Amino acid sequence: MFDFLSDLRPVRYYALLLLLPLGWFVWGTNTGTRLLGDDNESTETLGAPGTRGSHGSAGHGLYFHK
Amino acid sequence: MSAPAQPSAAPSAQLTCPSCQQSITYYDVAGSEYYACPHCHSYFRYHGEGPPKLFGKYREVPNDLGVLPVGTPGTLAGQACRVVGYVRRAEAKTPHYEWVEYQIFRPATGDCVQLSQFNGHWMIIQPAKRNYDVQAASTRAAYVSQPGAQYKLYNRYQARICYAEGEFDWDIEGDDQLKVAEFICPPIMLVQEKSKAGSKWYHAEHLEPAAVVEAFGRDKVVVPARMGVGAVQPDPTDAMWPGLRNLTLLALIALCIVQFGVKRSSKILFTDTLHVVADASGTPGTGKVIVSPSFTVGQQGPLEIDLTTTVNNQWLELPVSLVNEQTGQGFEFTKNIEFYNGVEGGESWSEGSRNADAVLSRVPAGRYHLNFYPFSEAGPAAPDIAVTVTADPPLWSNFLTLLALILAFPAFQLWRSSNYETRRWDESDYAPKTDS
Repeated sequence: MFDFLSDLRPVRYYALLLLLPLGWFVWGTNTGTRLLGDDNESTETLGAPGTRGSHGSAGHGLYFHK
Repeated sequence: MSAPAQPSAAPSAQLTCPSCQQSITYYDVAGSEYYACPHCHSYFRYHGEGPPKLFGKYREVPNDLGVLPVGTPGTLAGQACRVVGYVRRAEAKTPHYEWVEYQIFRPATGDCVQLSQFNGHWMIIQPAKRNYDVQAASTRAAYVSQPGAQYKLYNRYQARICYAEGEFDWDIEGDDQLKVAEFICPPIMLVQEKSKAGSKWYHAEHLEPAAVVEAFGRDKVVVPARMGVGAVQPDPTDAMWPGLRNLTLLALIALCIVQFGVKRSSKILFTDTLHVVADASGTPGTGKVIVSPSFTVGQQGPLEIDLTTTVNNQWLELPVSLVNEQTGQGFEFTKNIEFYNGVEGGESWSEGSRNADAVLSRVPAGRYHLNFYPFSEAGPAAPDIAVTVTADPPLWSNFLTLLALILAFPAFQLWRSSNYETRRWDESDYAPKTDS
């Protein structure tokens, strides 16, 4: 165990840095987020008229509501 | 740090140069027998009795007489020592390869070691006090095998003396007859000196320039800058490899645990085949809007929409929107699908793909439907579109992105290490052959 920790000493700052992408990955997995961006092209958040984020200029999402 | 220990108790003696009659101080009173006068550059032998025997003079006195003048005291590896000799050598066949050797006398043990400096790279050389067996000795791939180390042939040469100063316990001019072979396993070099009388082996070890400065006084010594990679200069990445390997392994295990251990079971929410119908009232090629049946997303997560079409020698532009029927929130994406094929010159060919897929992140729970706005090449039959919507698909792009990030630094270090070894062997005529 001591050897293992002493081996890590030369790369301790890299070890801390590596926590960032690992944390990013855990967040992406837990929230279901594709990290490098998904295919969504919509700029709206909630597209329905009168709801937060809509300015009446949303795309196809506004049409053909059942 | 304290100043280097002074070998103050070391005895010294004086002798008179047989050529210029000037007095020369020497320190290895018991061992030294050959001398190179710093005043007139004569080389002579004197063994305590009788008249000195003069051999000749060094005609070419170099402008640079090294960074450690003869007589400089120091402490090397905790042992008091003194520079008692300076030799500038060159390879007989390639005289531009010049290096410097300092004779270092250690009064406490009464023996000498050599400090060698080439292109700013330092080694401390001592007699090996044993012999080694050279494998494949007559080949370029000669090596010395030792437990835990293989010393590869790095250089073979004969050396000549360009200039010398100080005292020596052997006839340095006799070294011209020696055939030298160097075998390396950084930071160690084994040096074989072959003469008619047999082989003698020396053990050389890399010394950092800072250690030389520390040994002989930080105020006095300015070491030359290093050029290239030394024959036995340790690879700076070596020290980090065990830690980097362990850390990378840990990160990969963590990555796999999160990717495969966190259960997000994929579920097909909707699958159907939709037929594109041309819209006679629109621009040629425009299809009527297709609205899919509704489906329910149970919990927030990613959605994957797979599209498989029957396009054949045509293109299809397909804007798609996913609409939350309760909140009106919309997601949109557009896929351009084209597939062409045929036979030309007796060979069939195809180009493009009939399939496409899209991933939408963090789609909230709710009831949804899809709207399709097809627009295709006018003329060919309108295609069908098979749609499959999957909730919580495995996000392999996340996994691969992290895999690349985790492996990037080790890969960079591997490249650095490989590049370092290439530069090391660039100085050698015996570089290991690489298959190309």
